[in-house]
Amino acid sequence: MSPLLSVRGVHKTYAAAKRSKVVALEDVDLDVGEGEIVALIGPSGCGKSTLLRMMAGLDTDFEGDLSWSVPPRPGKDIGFVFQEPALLPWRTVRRNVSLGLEAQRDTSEQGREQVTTLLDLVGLTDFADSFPKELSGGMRQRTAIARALAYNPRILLMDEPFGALDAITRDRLHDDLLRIWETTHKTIVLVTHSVEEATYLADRVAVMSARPGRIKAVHTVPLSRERTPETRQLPEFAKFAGMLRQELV
Amino acid sequence: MSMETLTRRRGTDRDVKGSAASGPGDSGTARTVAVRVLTPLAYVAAVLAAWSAYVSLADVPSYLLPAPGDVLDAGVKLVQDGTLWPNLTYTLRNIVLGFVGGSLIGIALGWVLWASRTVREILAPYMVLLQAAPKIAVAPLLVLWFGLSLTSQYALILLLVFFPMAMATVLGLKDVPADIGTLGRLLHLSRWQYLRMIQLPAAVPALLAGAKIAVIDAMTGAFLAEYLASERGLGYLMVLGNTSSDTPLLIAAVLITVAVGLLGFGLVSLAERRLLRGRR
Repeated sequence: MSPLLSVRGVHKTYAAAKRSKVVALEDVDLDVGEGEIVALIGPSGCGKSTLLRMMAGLDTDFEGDLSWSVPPRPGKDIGFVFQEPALLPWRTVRRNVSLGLEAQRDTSEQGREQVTTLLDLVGLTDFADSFPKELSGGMRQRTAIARALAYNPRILLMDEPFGALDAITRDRLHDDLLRIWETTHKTIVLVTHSVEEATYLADRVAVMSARPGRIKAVHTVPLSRERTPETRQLPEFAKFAGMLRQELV
Repeated sequence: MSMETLTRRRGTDRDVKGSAASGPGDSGTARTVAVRVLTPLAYVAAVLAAWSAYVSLADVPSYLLPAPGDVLDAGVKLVQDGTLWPNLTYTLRNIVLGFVGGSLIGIALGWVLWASRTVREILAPYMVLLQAAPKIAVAPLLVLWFGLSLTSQYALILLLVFFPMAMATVLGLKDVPADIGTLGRLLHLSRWQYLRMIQLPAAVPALLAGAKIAVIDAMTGAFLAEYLASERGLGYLMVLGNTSSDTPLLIAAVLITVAVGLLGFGLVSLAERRLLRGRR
């Protein structure tokens, strides 16, 4: 079976000061399979966010190929979660979540149900009619995740989605994301700078290096898909996270 | 300041939704309301007392500064002989039409300035020049061009109102955070959808800030126009009081004008509180 998305020989340079060229990405190859969770990890400036934005179609100025098994329909197949929740403060949680459906002029019963289901999945049913400012940071980011999933995209792209949260909230959102995956089996590409986060969430981890940004290695996480907070205590978990940390140095 | 506290506290109450924290919050709100009502009343009482005392102690002649009672009498007389109502409604109508028209022109112009760099570069310097010219000097010119008519009055009001609204619109439209702009691209929003679903709501706080200035400007324009070239309106009443040396009438007209100003500002503030409910 061909992967959902395969990145081949992607190369990006941009002009910096004094006409010098900076290589942002060099020879990047990566496959993302259907239903897989892939983490992109690397030091800051390694181009991992750039690569994610290319996948989202936000950056089209590069060489190389990005091929999809089924090309994404504009506005329908990409779910994106930013580091900041980026919610619309004048809309309630429910209306923030249904933004994508509204953009597609989808007023179907099915769409409404999908929103309700997602709100339930991220534990925000009681806050559906609250405004973003009335929520905690973790709840806002949960809203952002629900918003990205509401129009049932084929792939969920996340750009350091938990980076701005405190450690306890972050752990909780990790479990939320795994629970979401359990029910949706959504393909997820996650950019992170935390080795623990990558280990806990991903099926495979792509380690990137900086200047020029390239993929150093792709590792399969040696843990079963069933992950619980106890997983973090396993020796394999510590070993794999330690190995990733070594690679990043 | 106390108004700010009040709104914020209401916000928090909504927030906690039935938790215990709303209890002490309520008594605090009640106290804030009392302070909010009593403080301006105390101010007015103090000013009236000082005014009254000064007039009677220093024996000021009525044509220079009438006693508060005389001003009140002049005001009551305006109401009783039916002079106030037609003049007040005339001015209010001009303010409302001028404010609404000027705001629409300002918002449209602001959008064009935001959307087109070329237009921005061509128009922006002239807009500033136009605004830098003192309105009291422009007003006679308008009378010269448009005559002693409603047209010259509206021209002056529109001229005053459109600028703050256009500037507020440009600021407001730029106010969309980068991530939300990106979100608009990801969701493949059309230009119109983006304007309606994201830009305009995001610009509302800036638009309201502009409207607060514009509503006062609309009143200034309306009074100024009437002062210079009208036979009706509150501005005309001031002229009448002035030329007939009826100082109580003049001061009564000024006070009514102030009340109208407060009303306009209050309405925009009310709209602000309604529209920004739930926002930060």
